[in-house]
Amino acid sequence: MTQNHSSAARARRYFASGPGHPVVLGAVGLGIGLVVWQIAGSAEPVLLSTPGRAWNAFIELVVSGKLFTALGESGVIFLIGLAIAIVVGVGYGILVTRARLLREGTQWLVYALQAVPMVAVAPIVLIVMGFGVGAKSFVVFASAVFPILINTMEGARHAPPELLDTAHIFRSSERRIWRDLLIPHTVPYAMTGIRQGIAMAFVGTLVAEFFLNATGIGGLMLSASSRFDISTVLALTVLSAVIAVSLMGLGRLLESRFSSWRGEEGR
Amino acid sequence: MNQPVQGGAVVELSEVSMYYGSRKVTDAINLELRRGEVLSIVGPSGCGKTTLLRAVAGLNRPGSGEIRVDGVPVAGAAPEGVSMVFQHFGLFPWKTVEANIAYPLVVRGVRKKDAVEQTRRLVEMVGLSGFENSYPHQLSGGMQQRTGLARALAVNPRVLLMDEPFGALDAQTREVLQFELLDLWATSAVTTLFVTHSIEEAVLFGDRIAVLRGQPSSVVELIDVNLPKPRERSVMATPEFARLREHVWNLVMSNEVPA
Repeated sequence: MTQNHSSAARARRYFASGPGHPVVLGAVGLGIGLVVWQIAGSAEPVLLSTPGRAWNAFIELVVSGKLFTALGESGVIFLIGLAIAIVVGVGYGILVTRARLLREGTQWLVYALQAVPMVAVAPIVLIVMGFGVGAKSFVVFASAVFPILINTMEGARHAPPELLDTAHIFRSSERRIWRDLLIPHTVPYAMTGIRQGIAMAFVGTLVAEFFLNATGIGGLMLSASSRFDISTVLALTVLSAVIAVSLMGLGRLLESRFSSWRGEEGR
Repeated sequence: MNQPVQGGAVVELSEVSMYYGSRKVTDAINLELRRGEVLSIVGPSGCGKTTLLRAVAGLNRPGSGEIRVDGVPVAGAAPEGVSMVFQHFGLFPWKTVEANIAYPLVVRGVRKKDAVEQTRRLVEMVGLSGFENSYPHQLSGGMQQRTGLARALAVNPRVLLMDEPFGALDAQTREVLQFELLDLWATSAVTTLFVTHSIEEAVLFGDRIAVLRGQPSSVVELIDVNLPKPRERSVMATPEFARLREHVWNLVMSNEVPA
């Protein structure tokens, strides 16, 4: 048992620091993927494109300026939706832990709403809010708010009782309890939620552009696929993946920055 | 802070019964703390010492009975001028030593200039000069508790509640802090409720000792400690100290219902 364990550890060390450096391995994987794509694309030119043609389509989008317009449109609803989700998620998440009636009255609703897929709600949003920037930002907000809200509630609920006693003893006002205790304590938890929320907001952005009126990156994808322009669709798909990965990296960076004191305290 | 604080408040507990859920932990406790007096409360674990202390702070509500600080009933909110030192320090991990000590002043809306000045004096008094900008996790337990003590004194308390203040410290740090606290009391007598499970500590600090026992507990004996004041370390070697310690020990340990 111990021997197995140590050989597993040795194998892990080998793969972690051996000749297969993660970046090198990643590049090899990517290369193989592109080759497979090229072969498949040559064999089935109508249904699949090749990396080369996708690249050309991408350049065309850049040159025509369509890509930047689309990125701008998507960026606006992404940012508006995410910003509102952060304010509402963090604010409400702390508030419900302080107000028992509100918590018990709305908790079931939060969990129920969280389980509803956004795609199912999109038509209702369309009917109620139309299909402008407001409606789309709402879809982004609704996609991103739950992980932020739930992580914040989790954090605020675990505010150290001794610190709450301290605030009580020194006759702190509710406003100062938030400022001195609840917000600083909850920030690392909220950041975990925000990291997840960023990814969800990105998905929400594409959902909004697909199901309300077609604008932004989602809109470009939709119109390209209706023209059977597979090269453009694939170019945009790869672009979306790159954006999503970058956003998640940014989220993780933010999270680790804000959770530094949490790690030190838990020492 | 360096001149003696005059007196402190009178704290009265009348017929105070505390409950933990539906279980009654203390039964109609009657105690009166005189102005500037240190009352130690000892008793087996689970006898409700801490619960009583928290009730004086307004953190727990008595099931029945009343607690008055200078005649004013404690009802829910913490009474003005009641300060507390916690067993696990209760420091804000994201605030520096200075900010933790200044906390009660800031919460009270004391002018910044006065708060800074007062904080500097307190830092000096508890021997934390040079550590003003450290965070609690960078300090030893003893230094964290000095911070907690300085914070409790920042409001010029009328009543000081100490809940096992040295309970989380190692033996040596504990002794050092005990004697520093004695020094502090030599200059500033403030009404103090001192909850401890160390019988030596109860005798060393107390002007009187209330021994709690039973389930629900009641005060089985209220003992006058006739040791000279201000207390010094040397009293621990006197026969009177040993006699009191044995007496309290017998009260706490004898006929104890197995937990």
